[in-house]
Amino acid sequence: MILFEVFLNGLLLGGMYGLIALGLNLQYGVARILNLAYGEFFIGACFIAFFTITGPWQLNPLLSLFVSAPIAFAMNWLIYQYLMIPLIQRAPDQDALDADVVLVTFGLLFVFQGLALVNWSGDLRGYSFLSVPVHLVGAIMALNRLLAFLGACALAVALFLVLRHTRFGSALRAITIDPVAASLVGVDVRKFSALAFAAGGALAAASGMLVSTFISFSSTTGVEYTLKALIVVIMAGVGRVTGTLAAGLLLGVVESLGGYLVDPGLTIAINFALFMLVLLVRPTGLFTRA
Amino acid sequence: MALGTIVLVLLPLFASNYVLSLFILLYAYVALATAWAFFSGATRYISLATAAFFGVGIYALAIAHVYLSIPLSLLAAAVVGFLVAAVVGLSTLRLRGVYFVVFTFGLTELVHQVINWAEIKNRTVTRYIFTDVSNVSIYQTLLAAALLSIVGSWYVSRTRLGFALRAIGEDETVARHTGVNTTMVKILCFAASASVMAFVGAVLALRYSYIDASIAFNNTWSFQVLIAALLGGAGRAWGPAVGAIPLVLLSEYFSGTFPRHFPIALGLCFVVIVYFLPGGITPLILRAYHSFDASRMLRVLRTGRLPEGSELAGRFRAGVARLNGRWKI
Amino acid sequence: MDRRTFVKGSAAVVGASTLPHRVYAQAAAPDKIRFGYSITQSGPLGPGAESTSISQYRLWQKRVNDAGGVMLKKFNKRVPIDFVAYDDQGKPDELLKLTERLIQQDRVDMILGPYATHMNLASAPIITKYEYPVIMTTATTTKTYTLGPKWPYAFWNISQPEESTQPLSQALAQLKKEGKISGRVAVVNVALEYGVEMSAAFVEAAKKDGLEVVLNKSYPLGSADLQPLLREVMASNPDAFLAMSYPPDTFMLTEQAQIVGFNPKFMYVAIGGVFPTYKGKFGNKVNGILAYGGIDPGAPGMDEYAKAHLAVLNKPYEAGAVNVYSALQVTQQAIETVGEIDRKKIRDVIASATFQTVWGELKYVNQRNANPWAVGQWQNGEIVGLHPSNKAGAKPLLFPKPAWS
Repeated sequence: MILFEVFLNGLLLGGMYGLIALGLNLQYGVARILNLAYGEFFIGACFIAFFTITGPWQLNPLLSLFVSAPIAFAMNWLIYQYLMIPLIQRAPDQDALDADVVLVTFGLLFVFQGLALVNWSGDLRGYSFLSVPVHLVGAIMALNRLLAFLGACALAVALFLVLRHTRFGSALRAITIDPVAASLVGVDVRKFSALAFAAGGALAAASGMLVSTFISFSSTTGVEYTLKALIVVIMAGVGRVTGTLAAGLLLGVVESLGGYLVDPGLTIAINFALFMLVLLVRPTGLFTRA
Repeated sequence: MALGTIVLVLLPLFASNYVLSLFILLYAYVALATAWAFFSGATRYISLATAAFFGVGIYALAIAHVYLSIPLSLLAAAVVGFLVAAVVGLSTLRLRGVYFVVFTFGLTELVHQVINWAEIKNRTVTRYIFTDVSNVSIYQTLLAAALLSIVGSWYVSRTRLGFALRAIGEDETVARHTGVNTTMVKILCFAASASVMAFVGAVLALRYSYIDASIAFNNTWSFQVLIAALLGGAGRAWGPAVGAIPLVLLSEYFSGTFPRHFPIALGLCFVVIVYFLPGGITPLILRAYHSFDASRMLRVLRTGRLPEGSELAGRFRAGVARLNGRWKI
Repeated sequence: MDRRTFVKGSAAVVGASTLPHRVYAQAAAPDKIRFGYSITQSGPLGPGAESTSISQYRLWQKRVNDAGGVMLKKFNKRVPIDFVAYDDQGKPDELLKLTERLIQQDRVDMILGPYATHMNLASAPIITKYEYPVIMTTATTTKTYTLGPKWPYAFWNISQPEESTQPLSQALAQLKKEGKISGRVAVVNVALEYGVEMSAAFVEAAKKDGLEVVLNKSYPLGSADLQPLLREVMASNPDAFLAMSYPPDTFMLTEQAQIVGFNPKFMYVAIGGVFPTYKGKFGNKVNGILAYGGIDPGAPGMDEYAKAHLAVLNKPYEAGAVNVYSALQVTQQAIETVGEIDRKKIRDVIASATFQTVWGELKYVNQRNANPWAVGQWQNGEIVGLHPSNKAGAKPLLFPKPAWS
């Protein structure tokens, strides 16, 4: 049944949305940094994966994760330590910090995008990897999209386990709820925030690598993904890392079914309308307690 | 100030079309940034919907100029911008902080998609705007718009309405409890700033020849206006204008000198500006203005040296020390 | 002054005045021809500007300068080309200002066109006002039929929606007549000006040619998943599938059609279908797919062009960019015909002469390219031109499109 297939594909699409947003929720929820340059790390990983498979080595692009994730981790850690901490130290409140951070990360976005343009030009890229159909109960899915979906689930579960069952995770949760209180109970807020921010960057790279298997991209598509991620983060609730995937799934399913049942020309409009509806009904996000 | 205004008004007489175009863009940014800061600066509701209202203005002009005269079409654009913002405001000004920010960004996309879809259903996805309006007329109109925005913003800030706006920005709950009709104030001012944005969009569109939804709704307007306003400092009515000037001039310089590296250079500029000019340029100007001492300046010029123990030298040394401290981890 | 000096002096003067004209002229010849262009080098507006236009500008400059430059016969000298380039960020306001800057501040000799329909159209009034002839290479809109007299200095190089879609409809009608297809056609388009105009033009032609349009839907640019749409297309059971698409969706539709096993015998994609990266991604599966634009790989000069493209730009040529290169060749030939930088004369030459370029023979009627390549197809791993079928190098339609596997 086509409707069932559309629903399943909506889940896959939603998995992609959730995957893209996981890292940003860590960065904004824990480290309190609204990183507009997030999508650039996503795209960077896309390019690394692209060159891995199309370059002289012709390797499996999944292997590129071993290169792109550590690089993204390190770069984001450095950005936090040297660029973000001064801003945090001088900001009187979260709004002022947001304003400063928006400007700086916007500047970073320009810098990274400019570097990508100079090195890799604005050409549209794409490669074929696992572009084969998978049949499930009469529905057809693309293997590469399914893989991204499974990757999203795996990462979300891993994050959940880390947050719930490790001391590192508890520290992160404490910082998310109240950094001041957390420092009072002995949590090294700065160190853990930096690690969370860096981990968010690594997640951006992971999502980029997975998504690049089925999406075409160029040096300038980073912003698009930052904004997609931001929307899912807001919908889920800032800091609700585990709810990120759920929010993404909801978005994906509604967009796919809506487009199919109403009009394919309205898919993106439906996407945004749902987002805005959630904001109006539950302003702090779907999964917050408030 | 008055002399400067006279010079600007007379500029078309002796400047080339290129310079006029540059100033046209500058005035557009000044008007947009001032309008933006009028609402968002005071109330701290950071809006990324500039591009939405700007685009609405373009579309209103494109449709209206077929039936109405150009001045009436421009007016229509401003009115449409006002109404759209009022409707949007009614439903969304309950959101706060980053939620409001992201929502306004989503709004731009939503309006873009809806108009696109509506145009396609009507089989008129593109609209042509062939007008004979000269560069000079556009220049004068936007100069007037920029000046009026600044004056208007300044004037309102001295009235009760302005006070109410700032009160909302300080603490909205308290403002409401002291009798301010926060909903009315927010919607009114949000809509007023949107009507200016729509007007500017409409004026610029007179030269476009050809539009469709993706051209009209371009998010970079939202970002660049935000940058101009924050760069200048939203504390004074003329703050955003001061921010718009380096933004436009720097962009012009970079796109000419490093066309391929323009984004990198601009990005680095923003990063540098945030670190060395927090609060924007306005505080710098205010400080310089207040500490301007003619006799001391003459002494510096005559001797070629900063006087010992001068405030400037002290501040310079303190600044360096602060930087050193900041970068130590 | 004594007599000897006087005689020597007058001899010199007389002698000098009998020297060929060129000696004096050489003193006045320009040492460079300055071309200016404002084009989208950054920002979200299309990754295509670099690939389609800017790369061609650079390649052309290198090849021309390696040969010594453009021949200005008035001075009997070859003069190299210099560029003044700006980034307009895809915004019409920037383009207008920068074009004026090129003309009034930098005082360039000639102007090259910007990228994308709305940018080409925005710049047309200005270049006409200052009388700089420019060939617009990336503008496609039905209005260009009427824009000739309005903007005498703007020339339009590529095929318009009707020219691009009528041949498709006619080819399908012919196949139907031969009993090879049933005449059921599905059309989808990206929700932008280009997509809508192409789709509207095709549907109108299809109705006249007696085809049955069983599906006609649009989707937004930036759609993340077009599989549901493709399912709808499949469900309508068409023989022919036409997608008036932009590069990201061109790629996505092709990939997802393979995933769901949709194998139309006749498949058309629009922008991006001729990109080398399209072939790079899909390999031999592109064979049989039709696309917007076409070329004659055997046109005179194509071999050298292809070699130079690889050598200078490090990548194979893109069929869509060949049109841009041809406009540059026209510009050069027009300048050489006139012999000097006289923009009015250059404009008149472009408007009246016939040119031989890598894109075939070019002639402008009412400032529109009279016979541009409109439809191409991947055959044996390269893009060839199918329509207009009376152009040199036109190939017959490869039908049916081979199945994906």
